[in-house]
Amino acid sequence: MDRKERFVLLLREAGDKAYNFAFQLAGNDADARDLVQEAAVRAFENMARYDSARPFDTWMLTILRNVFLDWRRRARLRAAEPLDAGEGGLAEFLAGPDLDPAETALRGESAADVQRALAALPEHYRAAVVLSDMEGLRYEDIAEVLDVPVGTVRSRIHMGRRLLKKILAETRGGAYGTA
Amino acid sequence: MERHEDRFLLSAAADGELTGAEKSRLDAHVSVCAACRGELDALRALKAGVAALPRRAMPLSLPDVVAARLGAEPAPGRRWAAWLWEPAAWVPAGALAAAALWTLFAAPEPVEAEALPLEELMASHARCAVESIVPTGDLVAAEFSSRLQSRLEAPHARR
Ligand SMILES: [Zn+2]
Repeated sequence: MDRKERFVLLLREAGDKAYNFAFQLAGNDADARDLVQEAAVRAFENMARYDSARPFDTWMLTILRNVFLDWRRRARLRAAEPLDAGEGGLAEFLAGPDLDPAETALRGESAADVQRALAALPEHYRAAVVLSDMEGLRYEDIAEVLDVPVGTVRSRIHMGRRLLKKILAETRGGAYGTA
Repeated sequence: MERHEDRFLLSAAADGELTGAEKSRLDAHVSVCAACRGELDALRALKAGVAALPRRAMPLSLPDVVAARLGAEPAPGRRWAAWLWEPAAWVPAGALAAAALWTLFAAPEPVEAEALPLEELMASHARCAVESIVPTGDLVAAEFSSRLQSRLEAPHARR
């Protein structure tokens, strides 16, 4: 088995995890496919730097996110598209009290509601929440993928969930009125 | 204990990521604070809600598509990768620099951004997004089009 075949085997094993993460980052299948392909090619070209003591899928997710950020950075430079407000952009909201009884639980929201709310999260929160809750990664591994300290992972996941709750509460507000 | 604990601890608790000391402290507080208890329950419910979302599986053909790309000649950087991949090969620094230069000059010529059929690309992206399970309205506005973007990235990469 040559190294290309070995690599494709690894890719098949890590594939669903990588693809789901890519989909949650990009928001659609066409871009998710492009992202995984590009990340896989980059991973293959950099296999010499892969530490085989670490899980391959974590490494693949790391490269995937870097490819995503590269693409997005260039898109932003090019078209100045409205993207994330950034770490400080939600400061006003996040500085508010977070024990609002009106939004303290999921109340029968559909998966579509949750998915929509997740897609509306700024990327640095969404990536952390997806890696934790959908991909089942430990904070230590999330820190590696996002290239931030574990303390930052903690805050991003918590802020991300608060924002998710807020978005879901607003969704619910439309249907049920604010409690 | 009247004072609420650092709220980050609540999410970390829902994820089972507290240290022993943090957990004891938080347990003590939550046992007497209904607000934090409610918040912890809410965070757990939210986590479960996200965990229960349908996962996207990689298209079965994708590894083959990747394999074909790996075999193809023009992947920039492959010569560089080959040097790195075989640590047994003794590589003088000069050769490494030459390989790096090679990847620069072997990269495909950038497409002129002005020449791209932008409207067509935009339309095709909109179609892709509509096919996805994610509601499109806000997302398309909020997210970039990597498809469009991948056609545009070459000029930037060369700056
Ligand atoms: Zn409390």
